[in-house]
Amino acid sequence: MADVEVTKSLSGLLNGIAQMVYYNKREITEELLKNELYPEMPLEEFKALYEKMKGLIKSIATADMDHAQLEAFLTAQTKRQGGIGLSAEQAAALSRFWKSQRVRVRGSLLAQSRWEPSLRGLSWRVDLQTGDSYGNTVHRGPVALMELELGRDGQDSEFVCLEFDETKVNQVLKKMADIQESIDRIVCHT
Amino acid sequence: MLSIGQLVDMQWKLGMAVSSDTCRSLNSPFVSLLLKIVEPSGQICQRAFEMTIPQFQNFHRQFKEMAAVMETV
Repeated sequence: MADVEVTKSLSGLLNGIAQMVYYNKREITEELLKNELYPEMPLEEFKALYEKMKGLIKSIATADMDHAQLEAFLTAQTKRQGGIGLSAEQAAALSRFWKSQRVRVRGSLLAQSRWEPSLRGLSWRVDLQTGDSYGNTVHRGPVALMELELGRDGQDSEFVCLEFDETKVNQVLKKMADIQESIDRIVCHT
Repeated sequence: MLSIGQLVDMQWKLGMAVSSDTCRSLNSPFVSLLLKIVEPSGQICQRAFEMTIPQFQNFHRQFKEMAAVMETV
C-alpha cells in the first residue's frame, strides 16, 4: 500500500474503534473494519493490529492524556522491541486521532460513569383552575405541572409527571438554593 | 396517558465522581436527586436521577421561572 493509503486505513481503524467502544455505534463491527479498510490483510494480522490499537486507545483514554503525556507514551511504545513496537506512522496516526477526539471521548466516558438515569429534559406549565363541572367558581391557587424526561445512557427515556402547588414549589426552591450553596462552596466555578 | 403524581419529599446529594475503571481522572461534580412521589392511586414511588452542574443550574432556573409565573397569576 502507498503511504497515503496506509495513513488513511490507520485513521479509519482508530475512528472505527472509537465508534464501537465510546460512541455506541453498534453497526460498526470488527469484521466491517477489516473488509472496508484492510481487505487484503490476512485475518490474523488484522486481528493483532486491531487489538493493539484498541489497547493503546484505551490506555490513552483511561488516563485522559494531555499532549505531553501522549507524546511520551507514544515514544515509549515505538521503542518497544519485537512485533509489539509501534511504527512511526502508527504513532503519528494515534497522535492525530487523540487530538481530534479527546474531548468527545472524555464526554462519552463521563456519560458512561453515570449510573443513575440523567435528566434529559423538562417542561412545565402553570394552570389556574377557575371552575368545576358543577358550575361552581373555584378559588384554588395556581398549580404547576412539570414533566421530567429521565434516561440512562443508551436507553429510552422515561417520563415523570408532577404537580406542585405554591407551597411545594417554594419548598423545592429552598432545597435547590441549599444545593447551589453547597456547589458554590465546593466547586471552583464552572 | 401519563399519571400526574405529587411530590412528597426530595432528598439531594452533591457528589464528585473522582475516578473509574474507564477513566482515571473523572473529576466531575454531580447532583443526585431522590424524589418521593405519591401517585393518584395513593401508591408511593421513588425516582432518582443525576445531573451535571450545568444541568442542575438549568433545572433550578426553570423552577424559579415557574415560581415567578405562579406568583403573577
